[in-house]
Amino acid sequence: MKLRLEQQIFLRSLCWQTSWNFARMQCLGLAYAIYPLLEKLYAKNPEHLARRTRRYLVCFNTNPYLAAAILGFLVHMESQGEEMGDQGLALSGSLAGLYGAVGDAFFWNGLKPMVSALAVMIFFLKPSLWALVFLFSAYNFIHLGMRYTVYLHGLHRGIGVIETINSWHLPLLRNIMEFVTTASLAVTAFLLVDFFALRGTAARTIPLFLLLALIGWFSWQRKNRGGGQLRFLEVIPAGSLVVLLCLLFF
Amino acid sequence: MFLAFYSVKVGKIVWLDLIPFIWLAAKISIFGAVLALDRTAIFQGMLSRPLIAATFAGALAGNWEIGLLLGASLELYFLGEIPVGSNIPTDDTLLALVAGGTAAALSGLPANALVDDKSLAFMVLLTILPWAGFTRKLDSWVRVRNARLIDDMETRLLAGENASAVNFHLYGMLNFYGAAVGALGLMVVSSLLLVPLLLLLLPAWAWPLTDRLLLVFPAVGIAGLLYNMNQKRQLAVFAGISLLLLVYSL
Repeated sequence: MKLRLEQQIFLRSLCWQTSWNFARMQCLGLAYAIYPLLEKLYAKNPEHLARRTRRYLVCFNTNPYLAAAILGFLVHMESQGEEMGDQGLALSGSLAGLYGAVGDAFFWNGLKPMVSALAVMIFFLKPSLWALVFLFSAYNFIHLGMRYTVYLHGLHRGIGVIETINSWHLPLLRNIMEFVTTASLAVTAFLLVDFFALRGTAARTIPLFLLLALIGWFSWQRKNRGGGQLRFLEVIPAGSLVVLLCLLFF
Repeated sequence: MFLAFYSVKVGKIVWLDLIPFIWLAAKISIFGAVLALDRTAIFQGMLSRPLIAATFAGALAGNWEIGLLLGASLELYFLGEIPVGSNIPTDDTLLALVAGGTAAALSGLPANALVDDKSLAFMVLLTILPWAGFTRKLDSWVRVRNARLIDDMETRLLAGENASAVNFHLYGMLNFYGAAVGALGLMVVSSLLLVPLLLLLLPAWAWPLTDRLLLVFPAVGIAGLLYNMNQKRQLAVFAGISLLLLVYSL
């Protein structure tokens, strides 16, 4: 089966970060992904092909999933000629910054915690392989769907892909996902007590647990704040966790 | 080659054959490192999440259930660390692979020689967590090494070998894979040696507590995630749902 050029480029984009480096970050991934198009356009002149490929070795870093949108946009621009390709590259820097921020917030701070928290909740509800199946299928159904959709929109609509992504209201979705994550964490905390059979255990065990929970929490906070002082508000989540455990124990 | 360790349940010194452990370390290194590529190098489809990685390593060592338990504990513990920009978080995939493989191997020892699954899982986590800093440094090292590929690609492009030049991008996969294989081998062997030593050093009064101490990992993970969200509304949701569950359980 021979894949179409657009599909080849998308499949190559799944290796977007294979050679991620501190010098120019994802530049090789970009050049590798777009190469089939450049080869098709400039096959008759190998020197020119090499020049155009080197043109794509610019410092580049964005969210690896929403990078598909920029890749689609760059393919769209390069297909219209070198000058347009250069304009696309000039714009791609700004798009990379924008989608880096939006994508990281949505995927790393929203989708990943939500799906993982739900999978862990499923595990503590009833330990089985369903937790794994849920984690893998739910995350990839959403992430691959979005990745391919933004690629196609970039490919066909060029800079119009911004409107597409904007119409999805990703920050709002992220807020909703945070609520789901928080709810599943609360349920998980509750399930933990049963899972570890903490009810009715010896009196010595319980204070030790509470102490360790507090120590763990404070260590975590100090690490995050570079050893700085803790603020009162940051102690609230740990406090509620400990209060919940206390109420369940005594 | 044999290793002596003190069995808590049996109450005497037990001798372990190390050859199967070395074979297991090789198996986890070779196959686990393929799974670890999903973390950065290819796809990024959650195959590298601790829940899946630890279960996979546990299955390789003959006990996926303890791998799943460790995966669920580590999943929440490391979920707060996110790869934003050029920040390199702890490589929880490698840690999960080591944890799942080691715990499964030790749980399979004859005559209930070691402690129960939850205690064993806790011991294993104690031996692998100090490697967290090492995995971050290793990841950085690979990314520094990947920068050489840019020069290699440009040199080939200047030489007119365009098609082979862009494939240098894929060599990054070898860097990630090689580093993962080496690190996994080292960590699995060290953990397999350290856990029996830890069992020997732990005071007798602490034995009944060790199975419940595993709770600390998901608890700290929950606290870290709530901290990351950093919104008072999330805390209210957490506290509200916890309260509802508490009332329901009474």
